[in-house]
Amino acid sequence: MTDPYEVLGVPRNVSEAELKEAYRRLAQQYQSPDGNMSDDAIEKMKEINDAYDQIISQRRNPAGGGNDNYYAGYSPNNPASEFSDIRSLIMSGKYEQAQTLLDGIPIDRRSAEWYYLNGSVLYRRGWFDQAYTNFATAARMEPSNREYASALNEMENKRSGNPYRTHNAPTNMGGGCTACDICQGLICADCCCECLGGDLIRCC
Amino acid sequence: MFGYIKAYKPEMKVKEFETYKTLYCSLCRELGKAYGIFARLTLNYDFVFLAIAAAGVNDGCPKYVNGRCAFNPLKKCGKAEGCEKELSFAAGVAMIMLYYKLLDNIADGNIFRKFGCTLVRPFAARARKKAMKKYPAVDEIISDLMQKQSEIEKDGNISVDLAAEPSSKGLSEILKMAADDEPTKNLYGHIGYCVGKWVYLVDALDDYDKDCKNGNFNPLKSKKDMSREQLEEWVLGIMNFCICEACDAFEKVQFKKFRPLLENVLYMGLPHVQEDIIKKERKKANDRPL
Repeated sequence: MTDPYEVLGVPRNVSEAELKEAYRRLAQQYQSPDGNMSDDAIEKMKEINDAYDQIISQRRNPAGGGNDNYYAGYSPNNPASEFSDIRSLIMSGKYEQAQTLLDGIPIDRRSAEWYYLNGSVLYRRGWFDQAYTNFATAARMEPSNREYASALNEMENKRSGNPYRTHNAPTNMGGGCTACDICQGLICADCCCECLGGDLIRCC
Repeated sequence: MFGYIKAYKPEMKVKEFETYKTLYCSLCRELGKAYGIFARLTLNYDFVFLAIAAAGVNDGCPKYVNGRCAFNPLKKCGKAEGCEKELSFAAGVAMIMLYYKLLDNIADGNIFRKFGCTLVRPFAARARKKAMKKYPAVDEIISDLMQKQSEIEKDGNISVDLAAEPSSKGLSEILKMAADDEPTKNLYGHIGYCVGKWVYLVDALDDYDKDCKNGNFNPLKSKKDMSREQLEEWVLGIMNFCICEACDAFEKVQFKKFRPLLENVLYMGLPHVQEDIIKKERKKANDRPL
């Protein structure tokens, strides 16, 4: 449940070309030369792909508009989810049906995931206070779950005031990389390499 | 209920402030022209916000002309030519809202309020009739809003989200009418929803002490068990969230003009208004005799 712009490390007003460049850079980091990827890398790649697709589809179709999709940007293929049908409804924007299904679940079966999905639907409806309460309950019931913690975190950020904070935060990331930055980076890399016994740049 | 959606002057560029003031004066003129001289007394910044939001997404560059204030001939005031459609829309919404607000006060207010509002009612009814001819959809939206609101408020103990729902939905529908194309309508719908919710909550916060004293409905009463600080923190959390959501949607709108004015209102005006109300409440609490 993270902001796709944060995943790719780009500001909200990033151009499509810069976005593609950021995507390529991140993808190179996680793809190893021999084609074998660790599980972590696979998951991270998926996150990056989802974020990229989300931003592109949001921009091409702003009719999704003010109902920003990043709260629905989670994986629908989570096999451990017992509410995958509700998740798919939320992903496709069918909030009324999702709410109906959620309300139909008896209280003893309302797990942390139920509260999280209920919070998501309430958020889409604009019931921000109840959405917050639900997210808080989900995070409390399962503190180790990153999805719920991230949703709660995002809400708390917005509830703390200063609307500029949530918009201008990543402006310094993914921006320009000057020659000074490159040179600095190379010198640091060379020093680190030499400390470990190698030598990145022969003449430094 | 009115007068909360204002710009924050200290952070406005002089040219933006001049434009803002000119639009305020232009709305005054439009009210006077369409609905008579007494309609001008109902002027407030909320409807200026509506006019600016409507004009901001339309093409055309307004021509600014100097003039004099009708109430104070010693004061200069400007006129924006080229925004007639949007100003007329804002004026129409103002008249319809005023009428229903009067009805609400007559039903719920104390004896002095009832009397005052009953006197003004015929003029308001006439203005509303004129406005209704031009904007029948607006009348439907607002009468629906008021009816739902009074139904919901019959139950004293409801969630704040449910209590704010009619106002939020109402402003959402009205702001949607200010846009022409589908993507902007959706964005404006979301901005309207969030700002409507914010106005409802800020009004509830402003009237909280009075409502507790008089036994009137107030959605914040459901949290009576909280201390004053906790209540403020809780309601500020929701209001801040509303502002952030509105700003998120605002970023995506393709504005043709007046973007800095609306940015100032959403990003700075609303937070400062809520801060002022909290300070005012705190001052009142601190000034109470021991």
